[in-house]
Amino acid sequence: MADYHRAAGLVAYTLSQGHENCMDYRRQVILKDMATGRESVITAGGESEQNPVFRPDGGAVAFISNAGGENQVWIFCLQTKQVKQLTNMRYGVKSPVWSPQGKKIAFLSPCAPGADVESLQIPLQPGERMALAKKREEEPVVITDYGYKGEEAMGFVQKETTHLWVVDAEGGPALRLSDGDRDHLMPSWSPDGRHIVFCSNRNRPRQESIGMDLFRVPAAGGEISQLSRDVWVAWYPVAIQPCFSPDGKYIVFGALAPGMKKNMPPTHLYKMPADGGEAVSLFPETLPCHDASCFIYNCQGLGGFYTTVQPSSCGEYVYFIAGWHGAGNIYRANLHGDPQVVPFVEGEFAFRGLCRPQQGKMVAARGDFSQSIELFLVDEASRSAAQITHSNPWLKDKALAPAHELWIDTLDGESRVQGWVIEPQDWRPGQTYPAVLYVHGGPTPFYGYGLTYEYQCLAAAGIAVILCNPRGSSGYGMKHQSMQRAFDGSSYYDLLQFTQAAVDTFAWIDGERLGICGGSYGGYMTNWIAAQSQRFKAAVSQRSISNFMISYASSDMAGSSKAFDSFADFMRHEIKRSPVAYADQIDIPFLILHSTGDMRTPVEGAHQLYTAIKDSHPDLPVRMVLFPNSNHNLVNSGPMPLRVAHYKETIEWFKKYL
Amino acid sequence: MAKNSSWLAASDLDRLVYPAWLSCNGEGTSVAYSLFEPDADTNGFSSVIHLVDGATGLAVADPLRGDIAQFAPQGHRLAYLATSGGEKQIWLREGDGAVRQLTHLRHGVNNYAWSKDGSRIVFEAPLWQEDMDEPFTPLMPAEKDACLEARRNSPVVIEELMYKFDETYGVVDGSVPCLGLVDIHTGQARLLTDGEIPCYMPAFSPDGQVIAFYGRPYSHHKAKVEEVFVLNLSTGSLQQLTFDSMCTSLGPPIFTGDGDHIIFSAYTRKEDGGGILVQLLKVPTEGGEVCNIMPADDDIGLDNLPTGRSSHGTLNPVFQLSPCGEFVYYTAAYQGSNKLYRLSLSPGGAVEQIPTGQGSLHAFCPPVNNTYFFTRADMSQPCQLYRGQKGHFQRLSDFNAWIQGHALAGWQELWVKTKDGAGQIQGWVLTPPGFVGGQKYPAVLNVHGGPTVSFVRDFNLEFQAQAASGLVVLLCNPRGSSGYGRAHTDMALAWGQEAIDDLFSFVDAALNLGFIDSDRLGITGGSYGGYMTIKIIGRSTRFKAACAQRALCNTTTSYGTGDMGFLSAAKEMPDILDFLLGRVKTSYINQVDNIHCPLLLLHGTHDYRCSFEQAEQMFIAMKDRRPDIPVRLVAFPSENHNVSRTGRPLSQRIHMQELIDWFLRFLKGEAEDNA
Repeated sequence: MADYHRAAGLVAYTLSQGHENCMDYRRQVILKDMATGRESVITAGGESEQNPVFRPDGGAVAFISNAGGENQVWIFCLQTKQVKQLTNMRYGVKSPVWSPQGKKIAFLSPCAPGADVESLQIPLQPGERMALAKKREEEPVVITDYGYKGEEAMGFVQKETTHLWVVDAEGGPALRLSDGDRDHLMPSWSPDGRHIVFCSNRNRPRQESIGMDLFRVPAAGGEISQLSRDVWVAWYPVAIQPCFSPDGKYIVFGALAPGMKKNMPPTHLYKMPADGGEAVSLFPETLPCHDASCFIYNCQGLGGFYTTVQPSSCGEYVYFIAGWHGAGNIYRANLHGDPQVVPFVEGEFAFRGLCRPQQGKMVAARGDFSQSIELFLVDEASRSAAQITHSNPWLKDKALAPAHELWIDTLDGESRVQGWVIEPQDWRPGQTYPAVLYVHGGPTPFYGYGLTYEYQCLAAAGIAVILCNPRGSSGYGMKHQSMQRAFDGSSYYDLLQFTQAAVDTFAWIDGERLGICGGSYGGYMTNWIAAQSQRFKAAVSQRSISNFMISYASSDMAGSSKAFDSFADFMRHEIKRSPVAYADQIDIPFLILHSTGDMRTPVEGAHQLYTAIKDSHPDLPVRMVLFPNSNHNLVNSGPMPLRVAHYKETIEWFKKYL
Repeated sequence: MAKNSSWLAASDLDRLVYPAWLSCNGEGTSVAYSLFEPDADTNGFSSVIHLVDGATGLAVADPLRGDIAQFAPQGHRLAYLATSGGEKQIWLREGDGAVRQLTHLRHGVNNYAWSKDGSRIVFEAPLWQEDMDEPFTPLMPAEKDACLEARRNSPVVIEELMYKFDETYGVVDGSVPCLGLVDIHTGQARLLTDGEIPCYMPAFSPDGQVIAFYGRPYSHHKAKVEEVFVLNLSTGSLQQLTFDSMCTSLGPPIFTGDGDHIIFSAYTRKEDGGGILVQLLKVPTEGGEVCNIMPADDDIGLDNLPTGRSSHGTLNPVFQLSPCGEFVYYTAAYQGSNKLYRLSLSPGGAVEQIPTGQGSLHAFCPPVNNTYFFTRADMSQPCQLYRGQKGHFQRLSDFNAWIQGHALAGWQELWVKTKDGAGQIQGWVLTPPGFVGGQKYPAVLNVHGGPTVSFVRDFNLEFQAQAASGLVVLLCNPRGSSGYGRAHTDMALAWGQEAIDDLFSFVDAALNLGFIDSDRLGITGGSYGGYMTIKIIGRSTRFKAACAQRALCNTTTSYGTGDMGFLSAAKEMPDILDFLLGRVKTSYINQVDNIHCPLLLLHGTHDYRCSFEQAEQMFIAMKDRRPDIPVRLVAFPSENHNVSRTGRPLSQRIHMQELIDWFLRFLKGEAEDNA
């Protein structure tokens, strides 16, 4: 997360660092002087400090620090170099946003229904924190509706939901602007400072917890009005922070295009008058990309939520990041007149976030095959990007394995599949190497131009890595992205096809020493392929789906059986398409990795798959490793010691059995 | 009906105390017993050992914090387990009242036994492989915290088939119970086993040369197999004595008086069918053939898992040798009471029942000098300590004296003919205190778990609190229940139509009593009882509200998620697809569309018998298919399958209260509690 202030010539960003022996990340706020290149740390003394945002006049930086225990908003004054704590919220704070006039800060903080606003502004004392933890560990949980478990909670969701608050930047009690027992997210100030626009599921049934609408509330408090109708504002799978046009006339937001039933619909950008009214699409019929989202799977970086849609300095355009053919490029849509979208900055890289453009310059976060995410300064006129941070200089000393691009036609002729083969380290002509087909999750994300540490480690162990974007992946158009194709066998053939093409193209791949691996949907595919195909000699199934019946009830995104007249028929249907039903056909060394706090693909599925394979093959090497204190996102943002252990398990398994 | 403050309620769990483990000295003149009580500060239970005069029950010394007190075979020396530095260790109390810590095991001691001469103690202690070099260096509290923290944060590697149990609240932690020996005079201790296989419940041979114990020899086996082992202390040789014995460790193995044989309990079957019983078997200490030592016509067996009673803490073993060595004393639930029996070890030995009075036995010490001690409870009397002598007994305690001021539920026993005419079903009807004839009451049928367990006449606060809230409580032991012989306990009948017919026959008989409103019937049950609850509400509209506790509803997902899911799978796994599709038929979630009554689900999140996902299956299916019917799931964090029996006090209380409130709401129209 970063913020840029052109007039002050400063960039502030969060730098996160993990350590193999430490369950928590160290997060620092770095202030960079663009003129001198000098960097300094802004700190309140916390172990985790992040999310810096400049006061609009550039004279101060608000950031989040856990210096006092919970995450609170602190303010750093650039003139005095002093920090002071602004909020005292009982359960912590996230997403501070300055009002355009710099007088107030809006933020998000948890609140339980009926909770007293004043007592929520008394910080937890250490003793209270322990008592609260014990209470949460021991108090029975009453469940009466959908949405009772959550990924972030790694279990049952707390009574507290996320609410919108505003506080005077000089201090004093905060004012709560939202009510009810649902979440309120992604706040934006109107340029006149009178309103705050946010997203919420407050008017949705709990089953649609990921369905967001756009709302507006007076910044001084008052009635909340719903602005968007009949669309799902982009929150899941890819969140898009709404923004205002610089003149304050329009709100620009992303929403899932209506009218798609079986597929993940494309995300389009819309503009709406600032006080509500009809939403107009900014997208023409044909686009140089698929939609307004970039759901890249493998571009390593930490730092939470990035803003990906910003108005241009001149106010004529909106920039956004979209995934297309493996890249995350910046595109530009017209804000006025006829809809038009054109590529803005293109290349073999992936942009992940955009800071608000100012006087022709914008700071953007970007990674590629040889570099984890760094900040770049993009010139709006020349469209050139200059790197401004070098967070991992040591990577330059490492020999990174190159990736070779490959395209194949699908067997059914319906599409083409793009992919890459990462060469093993110390590649020598005449030798052959084992290779692992690593299937991405989703199925909607895509592999692109991003550095993934784990693949480099596999390469360093002498194992090639095969990556591709089979049917179901985004970034190749609606037809390719078909959810149906991801599960009807098309994707299965795409993966086998691509593997064969890799073996055929690169003679140094030993076709007899292939492994299969993947997480989530990739884990599901690993389970499926290991049971259905003889191609692979070892498998690592990560956070997989093994039984859709388990996901139906135990996932935080509960399923629906409404398409079936008989529940027994539904059960039979789900079982037949579940990999665990074919576990007796799995006869290759099989490793299962799963986090116990995974609420997306519940760990019960791992237990069942493990038991089914072990039960039917007593002598086959089958191993399950369960990771505590982590959820579905372990390999991206979980505790570093567990991530390292997860990588090592995968790599060691393939070293042993390939 | 107005609530009366002198009636029992779930909140009385906060003051109910539980006598547990008993021991009497070699002369039968002193008794030590554990008394458990809830502790509101820690939300746990604590136990204190009371030392009383065997004749009067009056205290003879200050109580000790601890549990599992055992007098030395001679004299007044007492060993007991007490927490020291965070771990349970063996302590000794001398006749003069002086106490000292005897063991310093790294992770404490699970259980122990005296040698006959009282000079040594053999114990079972959990150890990790990495502790084997220093098993007698206790962890300092800070070390222990660091150790627990490290374990909480470490990935858990699983490579065995049997890797998680309900008893361990999930995946086993890697510790292995090991055996060790300590000299009580010098305090010198040594390990006897190396942690290669789990060894537990050790016992000394009469001459002190051999240790018998249970071991779990094969980890890959699809069953929780345990067998009898012996260890010769002089030669160090270890020998497995039984193979595929169906042994079940209800108590430590016992040596016969001459030391030539070892007696243990095991499941037995008869070739002519019927269900399983637990019976006593013996095997030569030198190894050899195992033989059943029960009379050929024994149809009672041992233990039979008496249920429906307020109890906490470890009770004495179900079978024990009399100090004279002539009899094995044991308890068994039979026809509604947990009774005391003894088996003569003489050739052609017979079984006779030892009188203990009305109701059900909890713990007992076999007779010394013709005096025996036991704890017993009855429908309207919580567990008390008694002293027995030649058929006469005398009450020595007044535990839970506060209950005397409370009106308790009335009760009557019914024997009801089964629909198929095969026999009779025993059961009880509990009526609300202040019961008024001529009125009609709502009633709740409570189906027990198992199914191989038996409701007995005993004191149960749960049933008392339900009755006190104005509900009639119906309890019965349908086919599949233990305690009525092999024919009755046949498992096939429990999973078939017979058990349902039996339950319905019992409800009909209860309705015939004339005071139950047939339009206000509820049904509940735990485990198998929860399974039956869901099965029944999916095919009958007779019940107007239901509560499924720790239930099994979908065996296509319980396979591999619970700890026993795969035991019922075929030995050689056939086609898993066929196997799972076959299970759809016996997963009574499949009838969710036919459910018409409000359903409450109570489930521990660390239940690994019927895993928590079973409750989620039912909850989501109800939300999905029956959105207009109230459904509520209460999750009990980190509680296992025993949440309502051994769970934390808060969990037990809320469990009890939720169930009562649900039935009051839907059978008596009382407003929903906003809690």
